[in-house]
Amino acid sequence: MTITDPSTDQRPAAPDATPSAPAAGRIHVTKRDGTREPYNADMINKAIERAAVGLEDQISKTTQVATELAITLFDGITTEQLDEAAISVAVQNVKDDPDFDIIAARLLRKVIYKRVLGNYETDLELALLHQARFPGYVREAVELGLLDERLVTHFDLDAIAAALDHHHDEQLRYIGTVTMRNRYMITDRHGKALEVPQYFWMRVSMGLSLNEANPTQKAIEFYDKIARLDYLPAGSTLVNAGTSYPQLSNCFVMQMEDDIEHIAKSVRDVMWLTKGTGGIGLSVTKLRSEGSQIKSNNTTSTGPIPFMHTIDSTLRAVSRGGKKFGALCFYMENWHLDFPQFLDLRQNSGDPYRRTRTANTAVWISDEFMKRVADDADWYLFDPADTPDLVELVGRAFSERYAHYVAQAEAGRLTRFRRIKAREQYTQILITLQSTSHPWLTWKDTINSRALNNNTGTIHLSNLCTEITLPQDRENIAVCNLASINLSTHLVDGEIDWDRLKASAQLAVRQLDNLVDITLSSVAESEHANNANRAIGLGVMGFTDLTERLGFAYESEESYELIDRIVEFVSYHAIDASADLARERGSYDNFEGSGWSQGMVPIDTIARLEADRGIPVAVDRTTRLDWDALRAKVKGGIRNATLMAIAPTASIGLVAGTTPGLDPQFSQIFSRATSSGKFLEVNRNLVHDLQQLGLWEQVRDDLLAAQGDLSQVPGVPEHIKAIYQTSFQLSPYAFIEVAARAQKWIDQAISRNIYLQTRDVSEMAKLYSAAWERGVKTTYYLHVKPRHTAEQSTVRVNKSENRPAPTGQAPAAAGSSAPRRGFGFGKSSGSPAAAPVAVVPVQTPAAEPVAPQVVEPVAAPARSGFSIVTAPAAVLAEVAASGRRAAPAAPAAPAAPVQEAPAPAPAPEAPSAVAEPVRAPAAWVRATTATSPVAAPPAPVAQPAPATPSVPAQETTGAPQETYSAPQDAYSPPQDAFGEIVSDFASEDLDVVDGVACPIDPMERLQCESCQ
Amino acid sequence: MNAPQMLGTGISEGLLLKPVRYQWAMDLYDQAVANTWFPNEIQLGEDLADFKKMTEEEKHAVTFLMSYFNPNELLVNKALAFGVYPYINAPEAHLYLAKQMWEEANHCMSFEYVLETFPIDREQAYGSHVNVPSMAAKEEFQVHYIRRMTEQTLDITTTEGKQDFVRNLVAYNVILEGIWFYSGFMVALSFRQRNLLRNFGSLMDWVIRDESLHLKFGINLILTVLEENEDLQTAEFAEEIRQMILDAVEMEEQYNRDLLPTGILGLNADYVNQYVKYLADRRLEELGFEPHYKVSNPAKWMATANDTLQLVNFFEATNTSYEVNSGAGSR
Repeated sequence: MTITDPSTDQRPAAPDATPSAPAAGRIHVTKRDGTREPYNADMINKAIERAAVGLEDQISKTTQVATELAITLFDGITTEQLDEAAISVAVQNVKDDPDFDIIAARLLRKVIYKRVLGNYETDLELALLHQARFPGYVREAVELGLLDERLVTHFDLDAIAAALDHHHDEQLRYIGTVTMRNRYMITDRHGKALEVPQYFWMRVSMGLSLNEANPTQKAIEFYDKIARLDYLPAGSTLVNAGTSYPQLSNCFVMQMEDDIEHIAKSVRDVMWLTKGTGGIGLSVTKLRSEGSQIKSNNTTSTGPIPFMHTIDSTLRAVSRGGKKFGALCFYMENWHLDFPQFLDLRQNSGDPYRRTRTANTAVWISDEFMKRVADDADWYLFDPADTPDLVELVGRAFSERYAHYVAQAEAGRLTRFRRIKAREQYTQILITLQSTSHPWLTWKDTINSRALNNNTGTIHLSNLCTEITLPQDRENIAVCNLASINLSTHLVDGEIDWDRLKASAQLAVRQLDNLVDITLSSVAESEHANNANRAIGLGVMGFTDLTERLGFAYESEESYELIDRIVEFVSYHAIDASADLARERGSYDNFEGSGWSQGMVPIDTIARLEADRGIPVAVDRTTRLDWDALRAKVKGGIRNATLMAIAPTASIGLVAGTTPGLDPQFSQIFSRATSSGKFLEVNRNLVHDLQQLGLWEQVRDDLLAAQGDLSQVPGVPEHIKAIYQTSFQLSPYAFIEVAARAQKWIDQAISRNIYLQTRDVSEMAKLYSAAWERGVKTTYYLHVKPRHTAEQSTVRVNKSENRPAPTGQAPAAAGSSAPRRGFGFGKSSGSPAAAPVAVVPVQTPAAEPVAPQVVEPVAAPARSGFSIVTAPAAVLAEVAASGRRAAPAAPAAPAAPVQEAPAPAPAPEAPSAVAEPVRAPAAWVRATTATSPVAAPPAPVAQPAPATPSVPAQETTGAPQETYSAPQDAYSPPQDAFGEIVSDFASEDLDVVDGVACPIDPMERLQCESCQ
Repeated sequence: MNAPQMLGTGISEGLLLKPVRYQWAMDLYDQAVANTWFPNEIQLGEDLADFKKMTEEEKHAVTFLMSYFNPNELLVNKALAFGVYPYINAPEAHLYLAKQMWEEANHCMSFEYVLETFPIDREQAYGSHVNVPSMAAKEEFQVHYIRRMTEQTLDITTTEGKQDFVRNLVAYNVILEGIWFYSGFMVALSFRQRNLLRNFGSLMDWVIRDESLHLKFGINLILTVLEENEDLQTAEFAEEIRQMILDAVEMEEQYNRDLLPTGILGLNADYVNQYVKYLADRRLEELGFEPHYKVSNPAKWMATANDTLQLVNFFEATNTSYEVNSGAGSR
C-alpha cells in the first residue's frame, strides 16, 4: 500500500498549514555510488510502516512520520541522510508517544543490520543471516587484529552462532541502541561497523569465558543473561572484552606519595590507565603543603595543587578521539593545610593553573570532623610533612593522634597549622559543592570501620564514582571490576522473580571472577593488586523502574523495605557464589586475616562502626536470610576480597533501558546530554499508567510545559502523582534512606546522587550530617535545581499572561491574571483595564501558621514571572480555579517597604576565625557572602534568607501530604515555594567508567577518522 | 495615587533603587546575574572534527548564522544604549539593562570565538552583513528605528516620542531578539540533534538562556509602557506595530532562503520559515494581537533540544544549566 506519497493528495492532512513539501518530482536522492534517482516516497513509507508493526495505530503513526519527513526533504539528499532524517522524525515524536521510540530504534537497527549483514526481507532471513555471518565476523575481526585470536581457537563458532537470537533486540530502546553503537560495538579501521547488537553481546560473553573449562557452554550461558539484559558488565568491560586489548577492569585507586619520583610515576600510570578506559581515584593527601620545606635543595614546595593541574592536563591529552577525556577524581583529607585551595579546584574563575577543569574532586572526611561540626568546635589544618602518620590512621586512633597534634600546635611546637571553626569549613565545602558540584563528600571512618578487606592496609580514598572502597599502597594500585543487575527484568507479572535474581547474582559473580584472570593492565601495581585481591563489585540498577511498576512511591516505607530486601538477597547470593568459587578455584591470596576469614559478613561491621564512633548508626537492622550459615561458609574461604558496589550506571543503564542505579526518576520528561547527543526521555511507566486511565493524551502537553513535574499537571489522580515524583520533588532524605538501607548489605559503597531544590546551605548541612549518621559511606554528584530555563519552543507560551504586578498592587495569583492586553486594547475581551491586574480572589490558607516573613515580597505568585517557563498560564489557571492553589505568603500588606532585598552590604562576612582568609577570587567572595546565614548550621535561627519559606507548597501544588512524610526524625524537609519550580539546574549523571570504543556519531554514517 | 511611571528622562530621577516599583525587573536582574557565564568555559576545539566533515551546505549555514549574529548582538546594544536606557526612569530597569548590555558583549565575543576556532573565511563572514542583501535589509530595518532615537530630538513626554520608543523596542526586542534570533537558534541547535557540534550547541544553550530573559524584559517593558500611557492605545498605532512584525517575517523568509539555498539534513528553508511564522504568532499574542499565521511548530525536536530539564553526563558534556551565586538564595 502507498502511504503518504507527498506528491499526491493521499498525503494526510497536516493538522494545520504545513508548507507543501517540494514536489516529489523535483526531489532526487543521491545514492552511495553517486548516482541520482527520483525520490520514491513509497519505498521509505513502507520501511516506516514495517518499523511500526505491532504498535497501536500503526497506520496513523506511519503516516505521521512520513508526513513530517516529507517537509524536511531537499533535492540531492543522500540515502544515508534519508535514513537519518526518518529516524530523527520518529524520535521527535517520542514526547507524544513512546511508541515512536520503538519505531526509531527499529529504523536504526535496520540500518545497522543492512550494513553489517547485508540485505534481507523477512524476519527468518534476518535470523539466518545472523547465524551464517557470525563465524566470518569473528575470523575477519581476528585477522584485522581487532579481536582476541582465542575467540577462534577456544570456541565452537557454529554452536555459538546457533545460540544467537536477534529477537532480544526488541528490548533495546533507541538511546540504548545508539549508545551501544557509538561506544561499544567495534568497527574496522575505516569505521565500518562489524557488529550487530547480538554479535556484540556474544563477543563480550566469549571474552569473559576464555579461562573456563568449557568456554563455549559458559559463553552461551553468559550471553543468555546479558542479551536478556538481566545484568550488564560495566563500560570498560563492554568496550574491551574479547578484543585484542582486554583491559576489562573498571576502577583504579591510587595515592600519590610525597616524592617527586612517585609523582612522575603517577602521571605515567594515569596515562596508561586512561588509555585503557579505566576510571581513576587519586589521593593527594600525602603531598606536603605549599610553603613546606624541601630539604634536598633548601627551597619550599608548591604544594599539591600544581601537580593536580598537571594530571588534569594529562587527562585531556590522553583522550579518545579528542572527545572522550580521561576520568579521574582527586581525594584529599580536609585537615590538609592546602584544603582551602583544593576546594577551589573546580571554580570557573581564577588562575587556570590552579584549577582542574576535567578532573573531579572529593573530600575524605573523618568522624572526628563530623563530631567537631556537631559540637561547634575548632578544626585544625596541618602540613602532612609534619603529621605523616595521620593519613594512615582511622576512627578513634585518628582522633587520638589528631588531638596530639592539636596540642602540639597550641603549645607552639608545630608552626605550620591553621585553626578555623569546623562548621565554617563544613559550610565552605557545601557552598562549593552547590556551586561547582564538587567536592563529593565521603566518610573515611565509616568506610574503614565497615571494611572486611582491611587486613591489607588503610583505605585512603574511594574511586572515580565513589562506590569502591579498597586499600592500596605504594605497591598496590587497587582495582575493581563491576557489573550491575538490572532489577527491572526481574519483575515479572508484578512479582519479583527471586530465582532469576539468584541466578543472575551467581552468574555475574562467576563472570566477574573470570574477568580478573583475563584482564590485562599496563601498570604492574594494578596487575598485582587485582590478582591478589580479586575485588569485584556487583551492583543493581533500575530501582525506581521497579518501584514505579510496583506502584510504590520512591519515598515510602514500602520502597525502603524493598531495597533493603533486594540488596540483602543479592548480597547474600553474591557472597555465597564467591564462597562456592573458593571451593572450586581457591580463596584470594590475601584472604587470611580478612574479616571474611573471621566469619564476618557486611552487616556485622555496623556494630564495629558504632563501637568505634561511640554514636549509634541510625539504620534499621532487620535481617531475613540465614546469615549464620553464610558466616560459617565464608570463614572457610571466599574467592573475592569484595563482592558488592552500586555504580552509577549512567551509560549501561541507557543500554538496559532502565533507571540508573538507585536514582529516582530525574523528571517524567527530560533530556539527556551524552557523548552521543541529546535525547528525550519520557517515563514509559507513567505513560503506561496514564494511558490505562485514558489520561495521557490530555495531559502530555501540560507535562512537557511543566518540564516533567507531574505535580503541576491538573487532572492527574493523587496516587499517580505520589508514585511519579521527580528528583527535585522528593525529600532528599529519601535518597539518604534508600542508600542507608542498601549500604547495610554492601561491603563496598554506593554512588549516591543527591538532588536538591533548596539552595539553603543550612538544609544541606543537616542533610549531609544525616547521611553520615545513618552510615552512608559516600555521596556523589549534587544536582541543584536551576531557577531559570530558556523559553520553551514546543509548548504554548505567552509571557503577557502571568507577568507579575508592580509592587504596591495586590499581586495577582500567578497565571490566573488575565493576560495583559498589550495592543489588544481594541478588543472587547474581558474586563477593561482600569486595574491592569485582575485580582483573583485568593484564599490564603487560613491555618497557615507560617506568616512568612516574606523574604521575597512578591511571594510565589509574583515569582511566577519566571514560571512562564515551567507552568504556562493555562496550567496555573486551572490549578487556581480548582481552589487548590493558595497564594503562598501573599504579602498581606503590600506596604512597599516589606521588601528588604538582600543588600549585599549588611550581610556579615563569614565569621572568620582564620587568620589569613586565603579566599581565592570572585567566586569565593560571592560564596562567602552566602555563608553568613549558615554560620551555625544546626540552628537556622536568625537566617535572613532561606529563599524557601515554609509555604504551603503542598496544598499549592496539590501534592499529597505523604510526599514529605519521610521516616525521618524531626526534620522538616525544605519545601519550596511554588514559584521556585521555575527552572532546572543542571544535572548530570554519571557514568561508570567507560570509554568510547569509537567516537563516531550514531548518525554519522561510519566516517570515523579518529577511531583507532 | 502616585502611580509608578516607567518612562521619563531619567537623569536626576531613579538614583535610589528602593522601594522597587517593578519587581519583575528586579527579579530578571537577579536571575540574569545568576546566569553569568563565559565563552571560554566551552571547549569549542572539540567540535572541529565535526565541522570538518560537515557538508558545504552545512558549513555555509553555520557561517551564515555567525555572520548575522555577530554584528547584530552589538546592534542590540546600540538600540538599548540610544533608544531605551535614556528614556526610562526605573533604576531596577537600568540595572537589568546594564547586565543585558554586558551579555550582548559576551555573546559577541562568543561568536568571535566560534569564528576564530572553526575554519571559516572570516573576511567573508564579516562582510556578509553588508554584502548579502537579505542580511543587509534586516540590518537596515533595525538601524532605521534606532536612528529615530538618536538623530532626531525625541521628547519622551509626547505621544510621538513614546511611539518612537515603542517602535524601537518592538524592532530590536520582539523582532530581532524574539523572532530573527530564535529561528537562528533552532537551526544552530539542529546540529546537536544529529550529534554534531555539541559544544557549539552548549554555547547556544547559554545564549538562548540569556535571550529568553531579554525577551521577557522587553515584552514586560512594552506592556508596562502601553498600560501607563493611554495615548498609545490607538488602533492606528496597534496596526502599525502589527504590520512591522509581518514585514519582519517577510524579510526573514528571504534571509532563510539564503541561509539554506538547497537544504541540509532535516531542514530546508520552508521548514525554517514555518518555524518563523510559528514564533511570530507567539510574539503577536504576547503583545495582545491575534495570531496571524496559525501554523504548527515543525520542529518538534526542540522539546528535546531546549524545552526540558537536562541531565548531563558530566563526563561527556558541558553542563550549561549551572548558576553562579550559589548559596545566596539570590533573594
